[in-house]
Order: sequence, then structure tokens, then C-alpha cells
Amino acid sequence: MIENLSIAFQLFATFDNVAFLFVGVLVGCIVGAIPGMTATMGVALTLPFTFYLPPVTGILLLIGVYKGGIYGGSIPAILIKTPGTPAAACTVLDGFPLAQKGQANKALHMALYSSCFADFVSNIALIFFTGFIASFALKFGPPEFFALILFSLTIIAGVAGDNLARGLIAACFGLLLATVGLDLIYGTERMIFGETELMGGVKFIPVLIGLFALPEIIDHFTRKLETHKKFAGLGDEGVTMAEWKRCFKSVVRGSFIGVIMGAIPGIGGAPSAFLSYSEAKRTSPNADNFGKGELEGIAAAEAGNNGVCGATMIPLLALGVPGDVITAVILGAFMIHGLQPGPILFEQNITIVYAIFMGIMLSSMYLLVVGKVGIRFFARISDVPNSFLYPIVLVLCVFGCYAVGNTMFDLMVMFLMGLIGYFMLKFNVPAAPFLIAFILGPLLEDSFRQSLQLSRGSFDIFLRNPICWVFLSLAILSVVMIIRRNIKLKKDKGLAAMILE
Amino acid sequence: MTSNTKFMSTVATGAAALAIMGSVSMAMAADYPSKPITLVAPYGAGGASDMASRTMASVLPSYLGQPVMVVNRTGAGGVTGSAYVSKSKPDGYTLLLARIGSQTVSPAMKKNIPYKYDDFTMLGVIELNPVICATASSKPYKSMKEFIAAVKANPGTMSFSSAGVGSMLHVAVPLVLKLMGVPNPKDAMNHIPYKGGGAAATAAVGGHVDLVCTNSSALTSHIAGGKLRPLMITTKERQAVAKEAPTARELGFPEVEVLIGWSGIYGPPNMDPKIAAKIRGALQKVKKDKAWNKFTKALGSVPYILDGPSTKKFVDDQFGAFSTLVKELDMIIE
Repeated sequence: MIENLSIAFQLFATFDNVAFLFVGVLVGCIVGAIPGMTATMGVALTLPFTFYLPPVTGILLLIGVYKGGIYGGSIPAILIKTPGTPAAACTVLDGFPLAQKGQANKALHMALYSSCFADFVSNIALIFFTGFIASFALKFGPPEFFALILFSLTIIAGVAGDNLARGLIAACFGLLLATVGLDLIYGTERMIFGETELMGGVKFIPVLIGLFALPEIIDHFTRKLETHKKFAGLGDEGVTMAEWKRCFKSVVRGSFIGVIMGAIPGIGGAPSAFLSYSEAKRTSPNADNFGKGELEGIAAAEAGNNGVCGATMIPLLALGVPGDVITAVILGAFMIHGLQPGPILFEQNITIVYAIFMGIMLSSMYLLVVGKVGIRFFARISDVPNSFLYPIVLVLCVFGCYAVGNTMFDLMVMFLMGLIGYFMLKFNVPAAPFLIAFILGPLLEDSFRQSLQLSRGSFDIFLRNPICWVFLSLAILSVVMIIRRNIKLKKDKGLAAMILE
Repeated sequence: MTSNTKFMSTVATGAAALAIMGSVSMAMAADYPSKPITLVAPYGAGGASDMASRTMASVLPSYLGQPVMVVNRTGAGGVTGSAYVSKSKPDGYTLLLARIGSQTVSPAMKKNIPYKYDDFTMLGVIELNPVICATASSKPYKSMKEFIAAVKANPGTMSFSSAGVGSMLHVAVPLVLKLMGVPNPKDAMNHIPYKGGGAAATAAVGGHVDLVCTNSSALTSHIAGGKLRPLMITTKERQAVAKEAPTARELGFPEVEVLIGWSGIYGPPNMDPKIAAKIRGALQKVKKDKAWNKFTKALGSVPYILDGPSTKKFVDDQFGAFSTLVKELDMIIE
């Protein structure tokens, strides 16, 4: 063990490794911060460079881009209401209101600290509990998946804002939009209207950008000139110790949610961030302030999405199963170098595994440094008046959206979603439930139908083991609590009205 | 101006325009390539086809003299990206990473996709992907024979995973069952579609389904790690990646060998023969490229670069075989 560690250290401690990892984190942050340029794209574009690097260096470069990219997404989410990467969609909910209040600096720092902390927890989980977590994650077949997603759907109530009914309506439309495309089991067309581009379903990035960034821009330019908000300014307040302490519970919880959600193949950062957020809201004494610029909301969301980063490597290293698209690309990098992730890697190339672990730990530190410097640089965006900033944002949105699929069709989807989003904004219909339903809808439907296909139509399969039981009970419990809280809210309101009379 | 002179001037302008266009296209063929080339990968990042396109894109520029950019245009099991290329300008700047699934299985199975299997300029097959049928080590089936016996004994209760309707994995199992004499092969096992080959392989590793038949590259790490037990491989000889797996031929079913995955480079239909020849020439040089051969083998594929006519014959034969089988299996989707 000690001998392996010292060999691994020699393998790791080269100038190239340390430098490339840094470059990776830096590039990742920049790519993540550009709307539409996702962390996935950054990793895929970096991959060919790694072909000609030594294995450890190449893989660390990719990991750097990955971690930087997921964090980088939070910067535009907070500053210009445009999530740079899908996982940052949840950060918008409280990040942008805070920036509007002139507390962008505080918000950005909170996002950075909670990201780094969650990243660190995720790394620890990866290094010490890989085998255990991986075998648990592999138990998730279609019915278990269904129970988990069903439970996750209850977070809609958590992000619906003040009006649950409007949130539910938005969620229904999200689910409806998610049904577009080819049917999974029979391959029949659903709401395609003869358009080839729709066969694969409505893509995620155009919906995301259209729903969040565009309504704000349209709203800005449809107002009278005099009513234009001047720039809010950055504010020079950082995060105080008291604030960090107040949010710490949510950061820790978010990190663990991230680890679990990351380790189960096929879920990813966005649902994890939303789940962490809604759990934080449920338990926080400041629950009413969530969605209006609550620091704890940012902490929870960012911990949730960065907690995924190390954990997606768990099934990859332990089993050779990539947890998401990004780790699938990293798997490719391993294979190009003749390495087979899985138990064999631990037997035959344990020094490489250790060297990668060392690099992963260093990447968390880099993230903190790059983020600290980056905030100072990116934050200047807040000093640009919106009338100049928004046209630039619009150009970036168009560019980013086109870059994802290289098709004008995606742009049309983006603009259409922008219009819909604008009317949702005007009529006070929250966008977050729409988005969550759109993300989780296909996962829910697929796992439901796969389960029934496996059982040949018998519903008993949904109760086949304790994992299903736990998540189904949690789902029922959540719904009961939501109903009770709403009844209480109504009573309180009624009482207040009576007193006023 | 009379209508006659008007007509003449229109014709003259048209002719001039045609001449210019003609000379441009001739110049284009001579200069080709004069700008970066886009290689469309019709499946998501990280999958076998994505890796094949990125390894090709990393070496091809040395032989063509221009950068090659990989663009993932995903959706509908490779159909979205393939349809895009088949409708693109045949100028050689938009190419497709062709795959068995999107280029032969889907066109054979699905009536509603917007291209035929030969609506492309087939530039060359580049690699083969041996198919392995495997089951989780925790399952009791030690050999293909035992597995088939179990399917026969319990018709309709066992399951297999696929990368979606119309994927190679979807056809593979009923095809194997049919060739191995299982009655009613289409419904003898339960088809559980997943989104992508990776997810389908994971389902088999976790024991959630009983069988998966897919590219060896998606399974080798699980086989080496002892999670999956390979039951059969479809190459003529045994492969180093799964030595314990007998070939279909050894098992007495050489017809199963039609089930072999491949990647190729396609262009839009009606490409200028000179441009096509340039790309084919470059591919022949890639054949001897050490780095490309190394990468391809490391990914579990077999380097297999064919020239134009051999590619056409290879694809025609495979499409013919699949069309017949799919019809016999009654698996055509209207």
C-alpha cells in the first residue's frame, strides 16, 4: 500500500500533471461560464488532446475541465440569469434575485465555497467508499429508478413559489413537452408533425436558455426607457462566517445528495441540484425567502450539482459504468490508453488510480483558486448597464444554442421557448417546475414502462425490494406534507383576512 | 428590349452563372479541401461511434491537410444526424460517421425514417466491432446452449436489453434466437429498450436483464472485471478481449456472423467523384497510420478500412441480409 502510494506520488508529481490539471480547471470554468457551452462539450472537445498525453496527465486534464465546467455554469446563472450548463439551472432561482439586489459578489462567493466543499466531499466518497457505493448503485434497475424519480418529482412543490396550482400547471406542460419524440418501447412518433429534428425529442439546452435568459431580455426591452433598471452593481460584501454557518447544514446535505445521485448512472447534476434545493427549503427557517434571493438556496443548489462530480467517477472506476455523458467521454480516454476501468484497473494499475485520486484532490483546490480570481474578473459584468449587457447575452445565447446541435431548428425552439417564458413571467407562472418536469419526465416514463415490460404488466414489480419501498414512502410522505402545509397556509391567510376585516 | 432579346439575355446570364458555378465546383474539387471538414457523429459523446469519429478526426487532418471537427448531432438512434448529412451539400465538407445501427438496421426496420440505406456516398468502412452476447455472472447460464435451452423452457419470461427500437442490439437477440432454432423468436424474450448502448450494457451488468448482445468494446471491461459472462462472439476467430467466448461458428451457427458492427465514413449522395476519391485515398493512408491503429484496437474494435467498391458490397450484403431477417421476424415498424 505505502509502496504503491509512493510510486503513485512519483507518477503524479510531475510538472505536466500539475500544469495540465490547472489548465483543465481554467478552461472548464470559462467554457462553463459561456451560456450554451456545456461542461460536456468542453470535455468532448478536450478529449482528442489527451490521445497524445500520458494516461494520468490526459485523464486529469479531462477531470479538470469537468469540475471547472460544472462550477463555471453558476457564474452566468447568478449574473445574467442564464445557466451556463444545465446543472446550474437551479442556481438561477436565488442567484439572480440576489444579484439584482446588488449582492452578486456574495452570491458568487457562496456558490464557489459550496461547490468546492461539495467537490471535496464527493472526492472523499470516491476515494474511500467506491466499492460500497458502486454495488449499491448497480442495484438500481427500472423499478428502483422509477421510485427515485417519482420522489424527485415532489420537488416541484418546493420550487413552485407562492402558488402551488400555477407550479403544477407549469409542470404538466413540462411533462407534455417531454413526450415529444420517438416512443421508447414501440418507436412510434409522438407529436413530431413530420419534422425529422423532433424525432429525438425537444433538446434540453434550447429549452433551458429560452426559458430563463430570454424572458428577462424581452422584458427589459419591452419596458419604457425610463423604467429600465440601472445596473445593480456587484456589492463588495463577501460571505460572512455567520452566513456560512447558517448555510452549512444545507451544503453538507447537498453534498451527500450529490454523491448518491451522482453514483447512480443516468441521473446527473441538474436533478441533484433541484433535490438538494428543495430539501434545503423544506427544512430551512427561511423557507419563505427561497426563490427571492436566499443565500442558502444557492449553497444548496451548488453543493447538489458539484457533489455529483466526484461521485460519477465511482461507477466509472469501480465498474467501468459511466454515470453520465461526461464520464462516458472520460471512459473513452481510459480505453484509448489501454486502461480498462473496473475491478481490473484496481488490480493491475492501482498506482494510476492513486495518482488520479491525488490529482482529483488537487483539482478541488485549483477550483477554489481559479474561482476566486475568476469571480473578480467575471463580476465586472455586473458593472455593465443592462441595455448594453443584454444584447451581448442574446448573441451568446444564440451562439451557444447553435453550437450544441449545429442546427437552426434549435434556435427556433429557443426563441419560441423565450416567448412562452416571457408570458409565464408576465402571468407569474414559475419556470422551474416546468424545467424539472421536462428533465425528469422522460426518466420517469422510461423507467415506468421498462418496469412493466420486465414484469409483463404486473404492478407488483414496483414493490420488489426495500429501495422501492423507501423511495415510494418518501414520495407519499412528501405529498402529504405539501398538502398539509398548503391547507395551513390557506387557513393562515383566511385568518389574516378576517382580522383585516 | 423585345421579349426575344430579354429571353436571350436571361439565357446568357444563366449560362454565365452555370459556367461560373461549374468552374467553382471544378476548382472546388481541385482545391479540396480548402476549409475545415465537419464529421457528424450521429450518437452521443462517449459512445463507441463518438470515439470512432474522434480517433479518425485526430489522424485524418495529416492526410487531408485540413482540420476535421467532430459534431454530435444526436437523437432517434442516429437517424437525426444521418438524415442531416444525407440532405447536406455534397461538397465533401460535411461527412457522416456511419454505423451499422443508423445505416443498415434502422433503414431495414423502420419505414418512417427520412433516408434509404443507400442515400449516401459510401466512402469507406473503417472498422469492425465484434458483437458479444453476454449475461451477468450471477445468472446460472454457463453457455449459449444452456441459455437457449432456458429460453425454450420459459418462453416470454426472460429479457434482453437494447439501445432502443431499431438499434442493432434490438434485432440482434431475436436474430440469434431464430438462427438457433427457438420457436417464435420475436416474442420468446422480453425486449427492454434503454437509451443508448452504455445503459443497455449496464442493465445486463446489474442483472436487471438476462442477456445483452452488443459491441465487444462496451462489454470487455465488465468481462475482464468478472461481472459479465460472455456466451458467444460473432467474429470468425476468438478474440483476445474475451478469449473464453466461443465463436458462433464453433457453436455451429456461422449464419450468426452477419451480426457484426461496423463504422464507416459516408458523405451526402452524389458527391463529386474527384472529392470522394481524395477522401478514399486519405482513408487508405490512415489504414497504415500507427496511432490510429493503436487507438482503434485499444477501443476494442478491429481496424478494417475498405475501398469504395468493397464498402458498397459489404453494406449491400449486410442490408440485404438484415432486410430479409427483419421481414421474416415480422419486426418492421411502419
